[in-house]
Amino acid sequence: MTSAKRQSALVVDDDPVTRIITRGLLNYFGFEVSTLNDGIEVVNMYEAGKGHFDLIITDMEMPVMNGIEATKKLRSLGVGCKIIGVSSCDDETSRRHFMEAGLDHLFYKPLNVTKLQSCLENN
Amino acid sequence: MRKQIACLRNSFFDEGFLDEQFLQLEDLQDDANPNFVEEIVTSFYGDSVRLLRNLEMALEKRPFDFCKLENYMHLFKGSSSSIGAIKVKRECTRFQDYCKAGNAEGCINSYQQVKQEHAILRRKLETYFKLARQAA
Repeated sequence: MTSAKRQSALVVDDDPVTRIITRGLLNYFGFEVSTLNDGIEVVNMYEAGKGHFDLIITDMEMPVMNGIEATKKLRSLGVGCKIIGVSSCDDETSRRHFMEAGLDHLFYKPLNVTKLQSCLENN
Repeated sequence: MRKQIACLRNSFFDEGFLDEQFLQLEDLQDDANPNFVEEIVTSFYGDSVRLLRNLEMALEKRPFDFCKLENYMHLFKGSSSSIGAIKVKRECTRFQDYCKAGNAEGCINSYQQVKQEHAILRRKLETYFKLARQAA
């Protein structure tokens, strides 16, 4: 009997606590999860042809490359998977820029289980 | 002992230490991840040592770099809200307000409150997880 292949997800956040929580959330929803610490790492991964995820969840503010720049770059590389942004920033302009970079959804931190579940179920 | 654990857990919410974010984390805990919440809290306290150290070093410098202080506290506040530590988060916000106002004394006093709430919650959670492990 073969088991269904789990979807893969990548969590990009410089906060280790957020990475653990988001990984736990996604495991709960059945994803196989990898994590990275900064936007530059996910861009490097995809540029090297090693990025193949069904879902990316990325923080907005990160030290080297922020989520806005990383998302723009990923979309310019032709990355077509769902990209969800998370941010604790209240600034509407920054949030709009984040969405315009190519996100599918943007949530406030901390991630809400119900909202994330609803988002993942509505493809 | 289970009653003691339940009372302690309820006190987290009744006394306003934790909010529904903590409940959401507990909902993710199952047989496959029986220590999920404790793992997160342990990571939080481990990481917060680093964040608090950065803040203390920045608070030793004169004049204050309020922008840097606010950014450091933003990180700490984010972590705190991730585990539902609402009292800690509230004190972090107060600190950030003092940063925005350029109020050095307010920052110093507020930072002490952040540390105090952080330490109080840590003691309570350590007791809670210790009892939970003994009861398991």
